[in-house]
Amino acid sequence: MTHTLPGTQDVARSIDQFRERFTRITQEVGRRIVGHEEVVNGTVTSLLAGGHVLLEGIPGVGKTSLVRSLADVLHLKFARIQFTPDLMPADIVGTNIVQEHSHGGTFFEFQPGPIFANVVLADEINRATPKTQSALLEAMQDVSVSVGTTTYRLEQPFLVLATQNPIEMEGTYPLPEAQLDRFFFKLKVKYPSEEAMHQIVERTTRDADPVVTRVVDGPEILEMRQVARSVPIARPVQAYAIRMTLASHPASPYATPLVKRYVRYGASPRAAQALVLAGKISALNRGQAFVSIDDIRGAALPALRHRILLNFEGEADEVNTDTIVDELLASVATE
Amino acid sequence: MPDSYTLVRDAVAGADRIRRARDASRRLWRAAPAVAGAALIAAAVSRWRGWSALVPLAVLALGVAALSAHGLVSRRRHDVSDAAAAGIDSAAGLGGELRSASWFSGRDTGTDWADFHLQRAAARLGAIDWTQLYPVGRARFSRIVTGLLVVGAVALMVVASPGGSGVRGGALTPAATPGNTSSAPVLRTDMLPLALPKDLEELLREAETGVAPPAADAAAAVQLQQLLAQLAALQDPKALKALAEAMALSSGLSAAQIAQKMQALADRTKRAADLSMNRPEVRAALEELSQELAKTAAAEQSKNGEDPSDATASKDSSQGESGKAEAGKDSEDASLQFTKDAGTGSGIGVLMTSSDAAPSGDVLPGVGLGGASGDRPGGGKMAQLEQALRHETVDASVDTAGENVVTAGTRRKTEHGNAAVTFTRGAGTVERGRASAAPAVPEARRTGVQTYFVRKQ
Repeated sequence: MTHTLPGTQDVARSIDQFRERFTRITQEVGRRIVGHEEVVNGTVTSLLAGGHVLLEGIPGVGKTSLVRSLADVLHLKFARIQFTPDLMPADIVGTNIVQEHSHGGTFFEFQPGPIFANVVLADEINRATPKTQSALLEAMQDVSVSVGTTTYRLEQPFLVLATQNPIEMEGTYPLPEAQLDRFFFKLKVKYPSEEAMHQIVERTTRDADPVVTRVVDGPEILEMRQVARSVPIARPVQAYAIRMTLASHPASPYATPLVKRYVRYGASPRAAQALVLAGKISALNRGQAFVSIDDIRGAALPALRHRILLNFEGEADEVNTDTIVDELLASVATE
Repeated sequence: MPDSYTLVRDAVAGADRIRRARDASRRLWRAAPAVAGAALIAAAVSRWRGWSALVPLAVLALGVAALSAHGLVSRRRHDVSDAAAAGIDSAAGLGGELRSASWFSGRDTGTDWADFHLQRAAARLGAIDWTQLYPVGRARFSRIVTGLLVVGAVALMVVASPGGSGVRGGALTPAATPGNTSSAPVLRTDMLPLALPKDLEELLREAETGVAPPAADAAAAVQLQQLLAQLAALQDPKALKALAEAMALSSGLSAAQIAQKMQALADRTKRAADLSMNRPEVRAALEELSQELAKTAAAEQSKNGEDPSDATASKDSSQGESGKAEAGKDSEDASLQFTKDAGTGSGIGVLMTSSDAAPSGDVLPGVGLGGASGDRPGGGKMAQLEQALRHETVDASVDTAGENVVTAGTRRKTEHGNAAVTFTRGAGTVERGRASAAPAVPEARRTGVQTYFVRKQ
């Protein structure tokens, strides 16, 4: 018989608490968002991993509602930025404005932009110019904003949820690769099923919208992040995540035929980080203190699909990166 | 290191050992019939070639030793690899816990999380009955087959061993001779290939019955060539005597009887050689053998001081003139000996008279008897008539244009004609409407090019 070590009791408690909070968040969001459990789970996972999410879907499928609901549930400061072609970086990060002293004279005072929030909704992010899009780069990576010579720290937890429409291409600016790589997950919001449509119509055509309660606050989320990073991962499992990432490169020995034919650049090391972190959170959701191969595989699609850059042939043949990731899942050895 | 680490290590190692034992058992029982089969084949070959019974025994022992060594090596304790741990984990449906715990159990990470992970894994692994997960296969069919093959091999070894031998050094014993179950002394066939009498018997029977061997059978052709070569090499008197004895399926004969058998075989071989349906090389070989046999028989007879032809005539000479007169009155009184070849189950018998005196001058033309009826005109020779009839029948069935069928000058009833429909190639007019447009290669790529320059996210 094994005796229970003192520290392991805390571990068991942390795991149970993590599971309970995660479940509460997703259940509460689910009261307003019908279907899309996978998207909700992915979004919360990104939040707990400290990453950002790119939501892609046609208009009207609930992308913005999802982000709003999440902000309501998390008891966090929420800001929405509607990206338009004439949006400027200063409109996002803020700017120094001239103020007048009471005793006379002027001085510059920083007026923070909407980026200074916990949950930022960058709606239709691909409608802004690359210059404006790039204003998010520093915030997303370093959780800070530099204006002039001053750098301002953003409050944690900080989560950018960007949305984009995959079918309207007129007047849009595709996100640069550097920006795409900074999104922890790219989640595709699919069209709801018939049953889900019934529930959506019933919920949204009544007198009152469903009310969600705030179940988790900022410090609790930060605590959950800490717990998630504590989960140990065995080297063979980590090796699988790295092999998956390397296999997305056409020059890699693990590369699959589709990768060799259609991919220009594969996923960056951030992809491996995302796979491992998402795997840890998935393990905690299962109530386990170890990461399995299945945890890594479950995160492969949202973590890799936007990090694989197609070559001309891939673009011309309209190859879907999901197909390539599926092939990686089928081909990369788990041992 | 906490005891949970040790527990996990031991549990994984135990599971791996049981799994390897199961796999090794499967492999062994898959290979065991092959080893037993090899021993059986070795025993059969040894029996055929007259090798020692130690040869199949050695094959069997080597196979058993190899399988045992493989089994022992497979069950040896060694570190569990990650691949093995993954396999056990998958088989037990542990969702990666065993694999991960196995990796952590070899390292002291010193974190509460790893300790917790291994504690839970140890508890879970301890509850698994690995022998149920990896049951040792019964392999009933393989065991039965292996047992039967081993029994067969041992039986052949026993038969081939001294005291129970059917063939030793190529000598034919009565036990191995078809139709002879007596415990007669060994025939003098030491100088003969074992199958030669049987093959010669078949060849003679085919010649006499008119059954031609299948010409298209390459194996049969090779076999025939070997037989002919063996016959050609058969010139030693002792070997010829042995052949005559073996063909007569008898042993312990006197020198006179052997000479008689040889003469009979010479006659039979000569008749077979005379058949026109036989191929030239067969005829030549039989002719030569007949001559050798006749020569040896004559020499044997001269050595013994009596004429081989008297062997048949002596019996009839006692009949005297009265007997001859009796036979002259009625040819039906002639003693007939209707013999068939010993090995022939069916077919046409050779009609022979036992006495040269039987068909006398009173015999009506065409009613003659075969055998030694003599060359008197008008006297029928049934065996020769029968042979002649058979030749005609066989020849007719094997007519070949250019060999025994005259085709020159024969007007053919069929002839090749030219086809009525011809293909003419002329300078025809091109129908522009049916011509296809040039492939629109650039247009096909238009969408792709557009997509590339106006990229979607």
